[in-house]
Amino acid sequence: MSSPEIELRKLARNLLERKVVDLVIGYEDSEAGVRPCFIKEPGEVEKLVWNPDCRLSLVRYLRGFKEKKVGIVAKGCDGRAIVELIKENQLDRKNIFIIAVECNGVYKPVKYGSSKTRRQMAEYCEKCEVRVSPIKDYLIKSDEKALEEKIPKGDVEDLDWLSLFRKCLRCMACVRSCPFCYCTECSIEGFKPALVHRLVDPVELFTFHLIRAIHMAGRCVECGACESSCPVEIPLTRLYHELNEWFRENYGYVPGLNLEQAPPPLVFKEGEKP
Amino acid sequence: MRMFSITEESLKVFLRELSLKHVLIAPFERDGYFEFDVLKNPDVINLNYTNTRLSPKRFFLPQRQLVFKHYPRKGFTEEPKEYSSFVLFGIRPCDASALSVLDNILLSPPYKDASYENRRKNAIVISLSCTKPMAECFCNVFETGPIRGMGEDLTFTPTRSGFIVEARTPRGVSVIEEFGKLFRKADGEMLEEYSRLISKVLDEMNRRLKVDKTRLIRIEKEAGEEFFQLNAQRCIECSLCSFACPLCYCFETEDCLEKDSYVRFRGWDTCISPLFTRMASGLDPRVTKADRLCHRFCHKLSRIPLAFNAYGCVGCGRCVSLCPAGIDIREVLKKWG
Repeated sequence: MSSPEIELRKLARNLLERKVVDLVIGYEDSEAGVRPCFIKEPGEVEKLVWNPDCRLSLVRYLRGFKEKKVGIVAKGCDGRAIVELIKENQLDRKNIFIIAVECNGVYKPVKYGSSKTRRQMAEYCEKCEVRVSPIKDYLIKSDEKALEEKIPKGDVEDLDWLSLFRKCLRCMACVRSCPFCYCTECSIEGFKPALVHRLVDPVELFTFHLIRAIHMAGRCVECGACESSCPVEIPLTRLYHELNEWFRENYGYVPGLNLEQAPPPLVFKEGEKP
Repeated sequence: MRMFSITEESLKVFLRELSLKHVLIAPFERDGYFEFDVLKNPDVINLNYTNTRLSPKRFFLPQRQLVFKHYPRKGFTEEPKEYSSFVLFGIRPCDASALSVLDNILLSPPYKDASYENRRKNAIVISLSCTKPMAECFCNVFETGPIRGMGEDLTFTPTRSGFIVEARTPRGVSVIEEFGKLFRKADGEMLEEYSRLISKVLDEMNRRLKVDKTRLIRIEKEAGEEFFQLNAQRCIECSLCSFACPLCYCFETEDCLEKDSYVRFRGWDTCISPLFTRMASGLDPRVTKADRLCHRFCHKLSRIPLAFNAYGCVGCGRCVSLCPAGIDIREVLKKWG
């Protein structure tokens, strides 16, 4: 057992015993792989783990516990997502205890029937510059780094996006795993008006992904939750990264870095061109 | 005698001739995982796969299909008629068994699923046995594999000296007869290896997970809140488990308006979605995530067995591996099995 794990368990036990938080959201190990767990009793803290398989962002679960005080295990990207959601009035900083864990990248998942069995670092982690959450209540240092093989950074133009989107099953795993998709009724699932038909059609799928990409521009923190849950491995963060770069160039805004800087779509400046 | 053998070279010839005479659907590798598609060139078939990422159910139950097209001005309705026949080669026994369960459900009178019946009637299903099951697999629980499934016309099993071919249906026998010169009668030594292989792989899987499936029926009555509530916290309500499942057959319909016609489509739906049971009035019999999750497992492990004498799960392990939140049906099996 690694030392960050020991520290994490000790901290979680302490927080729960002193009733600083009502529950701790972290990762546990299971036969199906590392998965989210919700610790309510101090006796359960031994379940908590920390390793490069802790990839699914836990921030999306925070919206289910709005009234409670929640401790959350957060990587750099997860912390950025929390910052951005606080700015969007979705979370209350008072109710969240951020257990920041230093992250050195996560593994790309090896899914059902993969022909590659070697573990690779996820592409979005290669591009990541924020290893530690920008806001934190406690920092756990970690040098967990079991990354054997790095993959080269890909460009958004390298891919044939139309054929990638054609593979999409519209299973909504990207939407549902995303920290930022908090709308109670998704525009692409609505019936009145039905912007996108419920049943799959290649053109509709393209519309669906474009709507999503535009909604993510300048907000996406590239945590890779969408990409790692996708069953057909569409490299969505590569697309959102490109949009974020465009946002940075035009508005000088990088999402989730500090609580003070307001997101450009929320600010109106006189003389600003649309 | 329904046991035959074929050498690896002859198998290649068999596949080539098959692709000339029929529409051949077989697994091949793309972007790091395997999938089924219609193949013109049988050389790209790659048989070194554990299983395909997504189940082959879409060839029988497409994700979106036309139900009818109605032209109000002209006053007639168009329905899709006959579907082209195809050969599905290299499907794993678990997925083939899923087809036989679907036959039980969708083809039992009085309400037969016409489009499924049409596609199923015209398809030849050839399975390839699993000799190295994956960590996620548990087909031994439902006796749907790993060497022989249910639902297939021919079963190919790799051995040291070529493949053993078992004809499981009259249609399978007719395929063997069609390509008679490529197949030989299996000799005693091969048959012995075949039965040894069945017990060897099954033993290996039984060591991993052994469940009495007949006890699973009580899940309906005993399903406590706690287990499902715990997993519902995790569930992110995507449709991945149902879409990847070779056996989930629930569908929804959608009516579209086109220039001069009304079109009705039908396509996959999932009981995990909050929209699945929400009615027009706003009433929803399954409001919480735990209700929906409980329904999914109860339907598969208790209601389908009671109604159709088959299990709603074949143990392919896709939902276990693909679930972003790590919800594991094997935990349900261990708890109630």
